[in-house]
Amino acid sequence: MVKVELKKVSKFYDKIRGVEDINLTIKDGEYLAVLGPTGAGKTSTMYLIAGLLSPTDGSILFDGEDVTSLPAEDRDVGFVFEEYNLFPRMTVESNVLFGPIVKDLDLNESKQIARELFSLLNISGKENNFPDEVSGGQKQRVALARAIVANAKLLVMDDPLRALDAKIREILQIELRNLVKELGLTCIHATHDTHESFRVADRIAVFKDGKVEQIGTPEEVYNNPKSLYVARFLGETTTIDGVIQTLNRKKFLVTEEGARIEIVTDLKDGSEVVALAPAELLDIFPVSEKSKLNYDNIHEATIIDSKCIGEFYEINLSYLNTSVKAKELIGKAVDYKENSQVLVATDKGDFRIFPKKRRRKK
Amino acid sequence: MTEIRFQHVTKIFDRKVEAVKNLSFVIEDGEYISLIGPSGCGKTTILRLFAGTILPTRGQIFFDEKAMENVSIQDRNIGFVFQHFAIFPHMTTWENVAYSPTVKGKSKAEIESLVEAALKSVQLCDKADLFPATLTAPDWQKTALARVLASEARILLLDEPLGALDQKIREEFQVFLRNLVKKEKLTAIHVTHDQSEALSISDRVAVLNKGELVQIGTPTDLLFNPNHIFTSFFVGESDFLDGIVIDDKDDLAKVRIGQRLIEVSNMAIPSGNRVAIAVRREFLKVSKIKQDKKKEELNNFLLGTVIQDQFMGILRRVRIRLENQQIIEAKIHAKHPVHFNENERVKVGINPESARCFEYPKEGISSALEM
Repeated sequence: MVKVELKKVSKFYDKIRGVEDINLTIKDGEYLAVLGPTGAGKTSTMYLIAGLLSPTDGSILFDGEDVTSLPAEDRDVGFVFEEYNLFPRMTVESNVLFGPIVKDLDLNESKQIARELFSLLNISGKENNFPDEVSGGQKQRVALARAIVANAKLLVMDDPLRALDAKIREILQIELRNLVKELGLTCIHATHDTHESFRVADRIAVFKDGKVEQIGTPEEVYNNPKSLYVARFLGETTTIDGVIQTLNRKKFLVTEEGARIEIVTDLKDGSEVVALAPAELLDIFPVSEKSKLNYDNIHEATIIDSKCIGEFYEINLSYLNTSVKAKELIGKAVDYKENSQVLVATDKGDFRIFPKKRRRKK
Repeated sequence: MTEIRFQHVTKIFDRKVEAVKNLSFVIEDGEYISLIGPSGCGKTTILRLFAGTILPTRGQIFFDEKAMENVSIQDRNIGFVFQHFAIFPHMTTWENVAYSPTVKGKSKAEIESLVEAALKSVQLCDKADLFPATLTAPDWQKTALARVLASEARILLLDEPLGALDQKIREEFQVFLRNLVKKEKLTAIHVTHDQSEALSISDRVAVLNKGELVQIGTPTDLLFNPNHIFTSFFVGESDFLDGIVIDDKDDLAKVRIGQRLIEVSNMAIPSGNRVAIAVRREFLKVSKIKQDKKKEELNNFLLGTVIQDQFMGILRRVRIRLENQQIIEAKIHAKHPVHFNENERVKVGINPESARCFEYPKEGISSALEM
């Protein structure tokens, strides 16, 4: 286990920014996901921590010790890339034992550790196969075993599951987290997939344009996104524009057409805002159930269309003159027929409110 | 529109690799079909068989009842759209779309009318004179589609056509693509690794594994009536419980899982057989043991201990170790008011209609499904 600190770390490639002024602490034994779109600085951050790149500015500390100028091979970091980077002409076992042999570790002991890792990762029996004889998921498990076998205390992974099929990705997400926790590793895992970050991580750092936009537990960043950017990145949302108004000590968002939605906000009356409505928090009911519902907001809406996508129905609605998307788990007894009227019920805490930015003129 | 029929089609490469095994199915006129399955399941081989770039080792392919073995790719009336756009960078949108009718030697007037109609269909008229470098990825894909339309193809083969697009744009494009195919009355075959894309875009979906057709059906069929353990595994999210059929007489069969008896859909597997019971994660009802004492709503349940109650945004996932030590996961709505603590004992309610039994695979579940 190791505690990792990045202090004011920047990396520029000539004039192009990789990351800028990153301050980040990853606790002992913590699983941190670094989340962001392409170009947000995820890979640069991974490479800097592993020592595959040196920062232009700032320092990196492991357990309080400055490792900024320590080369990668002396950092005890296991690295897993998107591509598996296995040696094609070596068997699975030789691939995994390559590190310990180069590092001149006790081979018998390393073999024993490798066997345990194979069993933890469900690849026992594949030791003598060559990489092209095992599936993509198994290749990445081999890469993982190779990263950990030589006493790594810190595991750094750059979008390790990206190349895999969705189904295998799900399974490996659970395996990864279990493995990291079982071995007590500190782990940093970069991904562009929100779902994956929720699945694996204790905390998530959301990156934007080379900077950390927000860091927190999955629940914190999801429920209290600091910016529209984070909210949009974390969930499927539609936006409703309006103005804040207080009535009977309750705060409302009033749309241009005069519809009122009760919300929670500290913003003053008259502020122009954007309300984000996460698709999964819009609850849909038949109109006949109106009297039974106990919600802060109940509005009528018209179904534009709906489709079943696995465990969800995705329903497009015309709601308060805006086209919004709702997601409902299957199994709920509502008929999502086109053009039918339904009720959309929400609680005041369901909306994320952001002050409206005035558009700059080009 | 064209009806396509595969009749016992097998394709063997290098005399040993059986990429597609004894495949028989019919795609109706104007149908939108998706092929899904893990990598190596034979999806791409099937597309190549449609196109005629490879021929079946055994079996036959018919387009509108006409055998295709001696019909070359040019004469099959097929259009392609790939993940990577394969449009000519040195030609404008208009020139790209006009390529096929020009090569076919159509008259200038015919070319113009074809290209204009195609560009109108994909809503690219205003970008006709632009070069690909100045367009966005979705517009490249629209150009590729317009090119297919202008070639007067009746069958559209799509190989991961949305693979290079960002999630949000991808969803919009799914709607656009389906509407276009329906409006132009094409028969479409769409290969994707994304099951939710397949479920939302297609009339029917074919699930493939190891070169075999596992099941073909409407999205709802696959989700609610999987007839093969692999469909249960690959479409939606299920866990597989290890049980034994005790009573197979009624509409609902009784199975024993560990020490408990529960009811599940009767899949006509005789008593005494070992089965894998697929339970859909979103249909599991997790409840605290004390809560429903007064009213035993849940009488079809297993007991277990919570490993983790994980926040996932839209959903929470509750991982539970059952009494028989199997680990399963329930998906519950983020708004579900009850939270579960680690090591808490819980009831896991099973909806009998959505729990389906399959013969227990001899090689074990994870090997059978190659997880």
